[in-house]
Amino acid sequence: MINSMKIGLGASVVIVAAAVVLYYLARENDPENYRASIAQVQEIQQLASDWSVETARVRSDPMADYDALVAFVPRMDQLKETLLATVRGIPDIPDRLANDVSAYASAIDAKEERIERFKTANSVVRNSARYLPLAAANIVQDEAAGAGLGREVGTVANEINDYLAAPSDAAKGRLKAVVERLGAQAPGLPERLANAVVNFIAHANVLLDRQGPTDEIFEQATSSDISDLSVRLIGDLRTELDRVQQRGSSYMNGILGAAAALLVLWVVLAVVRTRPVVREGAYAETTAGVAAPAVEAALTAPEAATAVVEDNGVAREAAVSKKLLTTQRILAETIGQRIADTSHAIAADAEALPVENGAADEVRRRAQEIAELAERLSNVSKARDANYVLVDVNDCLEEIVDATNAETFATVRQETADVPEVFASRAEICVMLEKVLENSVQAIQEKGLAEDGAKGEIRITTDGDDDKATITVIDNGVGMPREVRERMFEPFYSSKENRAGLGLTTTSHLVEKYGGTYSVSSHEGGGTVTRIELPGMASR
Amino acid sequence: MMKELLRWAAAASVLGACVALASFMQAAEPIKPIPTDVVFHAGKVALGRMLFHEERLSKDNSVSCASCHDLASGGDDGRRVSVGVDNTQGPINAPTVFNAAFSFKQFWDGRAETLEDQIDGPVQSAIEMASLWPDVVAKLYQDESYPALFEEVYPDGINRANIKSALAEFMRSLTTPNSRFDQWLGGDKSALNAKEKQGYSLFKSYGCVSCHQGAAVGGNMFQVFGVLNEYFKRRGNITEADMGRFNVTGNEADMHAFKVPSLRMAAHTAPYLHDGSAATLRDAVDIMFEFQLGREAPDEDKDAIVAFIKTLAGESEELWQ
Repeated sequence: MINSMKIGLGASVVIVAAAVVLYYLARENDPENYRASIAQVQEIQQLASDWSVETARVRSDPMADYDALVAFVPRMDQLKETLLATVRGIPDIPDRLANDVSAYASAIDAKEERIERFKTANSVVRNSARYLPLAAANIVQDEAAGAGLGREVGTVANEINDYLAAPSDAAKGRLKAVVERLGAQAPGLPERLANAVVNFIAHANVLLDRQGPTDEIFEQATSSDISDLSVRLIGDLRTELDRVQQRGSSYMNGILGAAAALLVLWVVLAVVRTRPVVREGAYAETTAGVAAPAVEAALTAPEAATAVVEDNGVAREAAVSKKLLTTQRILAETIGQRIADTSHAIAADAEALPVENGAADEVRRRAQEIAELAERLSNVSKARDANYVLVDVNDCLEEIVDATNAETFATVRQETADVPEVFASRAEICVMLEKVLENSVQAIQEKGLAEDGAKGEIRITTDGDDDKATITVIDNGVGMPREVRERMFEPFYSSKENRAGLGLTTTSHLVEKYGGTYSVSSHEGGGTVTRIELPGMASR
Repeated sequence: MMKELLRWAAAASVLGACVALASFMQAAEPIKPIPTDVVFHAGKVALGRMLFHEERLSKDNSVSCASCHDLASGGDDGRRVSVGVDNTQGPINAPTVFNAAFSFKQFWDGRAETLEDQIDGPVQSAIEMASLWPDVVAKLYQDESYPALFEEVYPDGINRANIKSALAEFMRSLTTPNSRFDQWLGGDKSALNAKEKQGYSLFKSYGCVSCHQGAAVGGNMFQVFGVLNEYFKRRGNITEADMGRFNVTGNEADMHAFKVPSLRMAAHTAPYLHDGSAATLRDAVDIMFEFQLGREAPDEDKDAIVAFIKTLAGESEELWQ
């Protein structure tokens, strides 16, 4: 008894600890940061796109100012920092994803730097492009310039204009050579014209050298790489979010599993503690659930166990312990079957749920788990069936009267006759009768006969013919109203607030097991007659 | 009567078209007025103003921000290069602190992203204030009024971040709205005279506006000094400061690149350029034409541009006090 309590408490601690660990894992496993980072990446994607649009606008407008373009930088930096902070807040982020996010941040920095360089390059190029025709005109209109120089400059200006529309390396090389030849003429020209030629050449070179790179940096700055990376990153984050959510539900399953394990454990323990608890513990009435009374019983059990040990000493403890094991086994069997039936019913109900409802599968799966657990529970008890012997029911009487303290509350009269021996577990037969007697004692207590000084009465008679042993227990206790009689064999049904409601269930289960019959006749206020017939050895 | 009405209607539509065109033209201007509707934290600004004039920010209590950024004379010090503690000469011309809030980055080389970040530079630089922040905080705590003043605005009292925050808020308040040019942008056509309007027109057509644009007429981009002629080869004696943004990025493309300065307060902030080599606005315009624009212009055009630039300076409570 003490050992079973210790084991039960130990196992509970382990299960609760596991559940707590799972709880913290589930908390760590918060998907919120994944959701937030997906939203942030989407925001960055949008801003990057707007930024590119503004860059293109600036490029197409020679009089555009850069204020709006510059205003993107702090906004983007802030979004980027927010994203990085969010991602840093994800515990155990996969390395690959962390690297992707770093690469993403670098791409944002690169975009910022490219737009910065584009601004610098664009200012120079747009200026020279606007000035080149004027520079050419300055030469053409100069009286000192011959017709040849004028024509040449005009042609080069036109060709550079064409080059700007469609830059190519070949055109660039050829034009560079032409411009260089033009420059060679400058030293021989009058000062003002020479200066005009030098200016023209300088701007021509700016355009030839810088238009290509400026276009290139523009293309890079406004490329869709942030958009592409955003899409990929959002995809990866979503995948990870799914994984995290799945893991989260596994943790929840684990926690529920632990709760179920705890429940089953304490049902078993409660059964172990049934007898002392019924006598001394506080039970809550319940007809619907399995958990509450069992767990409550278990909670009050340690004190009860201690009390028994102190009162009766070691020898008594051993006897009680043995009997309790039997009770435990019997009830485990009964309740196991009952839980199995219930969970099969739940599984069947779940079938009726809509298919698209994922919870239905979950419910089925759980119900199946519980059913298997319960089945194992009842199988364990069956496997350990006590050694059957020939039992004389009269042998139990002294023992059960003692065990129920019946003589404290009532005058107990035993009228025994020879009865055929029953082939059964002796312990089980005794428990079967003890529960009946216990009920009678309880009924007498409730009627308050003991307090009135008028003792209650219990009469136990045994009778036998060739093929069966009949045991009759008659008390003058409170009796049972009709509704109680109708439900008294239901497990956990009890008319009494502080009883578990397992006594008569146990009895009827055992009577059934040994092929006997069990009848109770009672009326409210008028006592109860319980009659059990067990087939004797000869009849089997 | 009918005729009269029609005439009025025609006049009204012409007027409407003109207004529409004018507003369209205004939207297309590359220079924007300085906003006037910005709200500042009055307590921080007041504290920042005290700190701005606080010499205890420097190692030997000799130099304040205002030493090199004299608000009354335009937000700079009128020197070619500035002078720090122990009369040490700095490497670079002090820019005006007015409208610094519009600069997209701080310092000539843009090495600080924000006004707050920027403050570490002068306070800790060995040739400017040469201070250590813990010393500054300790000195301010010994003052009779600072602890209570900080307490009012910053519950955590005097510390580096709060000093910087107050100074930055004060600097953000140092804008110069309502200049004659802004009034002209706003529709007051009499705000500029003919020469100044001509100057603005030339400022755009010569291409100055390629870099000097936006609300601050600069301050929103980097540009290489010497795009079309090699300024530094001509000037010689190249210093570390002359390398500009290259010092920050190490990128060859950033060699001699500087933040394009705002021209808003140019009327009052001679000498000019990062090296303070242009004594007058006209000198600066000459240098820009030669090295940045790579073209020539008649003197009257350059004078008109100077006249235009002088209309850019607006008003501030801190000015001329």
